[in-house]
Amino acid sequence: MTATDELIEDYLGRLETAARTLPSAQRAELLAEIKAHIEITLSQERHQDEATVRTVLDRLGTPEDIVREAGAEAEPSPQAAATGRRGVGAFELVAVILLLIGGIVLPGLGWVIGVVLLWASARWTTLDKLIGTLIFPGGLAVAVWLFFFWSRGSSTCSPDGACKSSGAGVASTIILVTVVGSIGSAAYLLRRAKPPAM
Amino acid sequence: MRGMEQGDALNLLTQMRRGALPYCVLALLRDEQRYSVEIIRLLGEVDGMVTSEGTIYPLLSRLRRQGLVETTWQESTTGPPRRYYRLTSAGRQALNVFAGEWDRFSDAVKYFIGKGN
Repeated sequence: MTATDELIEDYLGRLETAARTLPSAQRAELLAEIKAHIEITLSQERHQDEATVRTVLDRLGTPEDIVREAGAEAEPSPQAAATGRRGVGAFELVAVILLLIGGIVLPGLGWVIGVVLLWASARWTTLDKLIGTLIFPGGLAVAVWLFFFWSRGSSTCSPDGACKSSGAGVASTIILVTVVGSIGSAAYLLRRAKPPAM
Repeated sequence: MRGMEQGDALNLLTQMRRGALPYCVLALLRDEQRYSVEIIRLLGEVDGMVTSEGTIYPLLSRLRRQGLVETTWQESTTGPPRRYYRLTSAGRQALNVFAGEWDRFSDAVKYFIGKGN
């Protein structure tokens, strides 16, 4: 494989990874189109050297930008964007609150309702929805549950009163990660739900 | 004026460019069918219309799904087969409606902004 082939393969590989969030038919089409674009553009250039390939790929933009655009285009109806109010809608706000603490208020179920609302909203792209769902399933309820589980169950105290917590470091790290992750993903969703300023 | 900062103006212009882009693509197809690389090259000849060429593909895909353009594959002597885009009657209608409204809107903005008050 030549250096230029490698550049192209690398770019298409990144695109394929980024495009995982798209529906499969749309993903396959996008990959084929971008691949053909590179081939056609290069076939019209006088030289197919490394600098030319780099320029062609630079002009395409990053794979992430392209996929973000595809995600935005995949939104069901242009009307949804047209009727968008300023600020975050009540629907989206409820979804984010349920994702974050729904699991505490209504164990398990609250978070699930949050996910359903998240996916039902037209304000978020598929990528946003995946982020909201995967960071982290259960939301803050997981951290609360872990905290109780860990503080009750896993510390062993010797008769002289010294307590040795097994795996305390790991548990507190996991709790910290889930808390920061859940709050971070909620903040991200709220920011993404805001329509652009008019 | 509170809330009307420079960032807002730039943001608005970005959104307007983004909103007008599909109609610019439809306009490029008004008189003839073109393939994607050609569409992208023509858009790129005007400064500021397209920053990432690859983002035109999702746009073309949406126009096709909306039935505003239709495509045919044609062999090429110099490279891989090319997908040609042409307007459907719905696409032509959408373009005409937008073009009419756009003329009125841009005339109105020019009328006020051009006064220099």
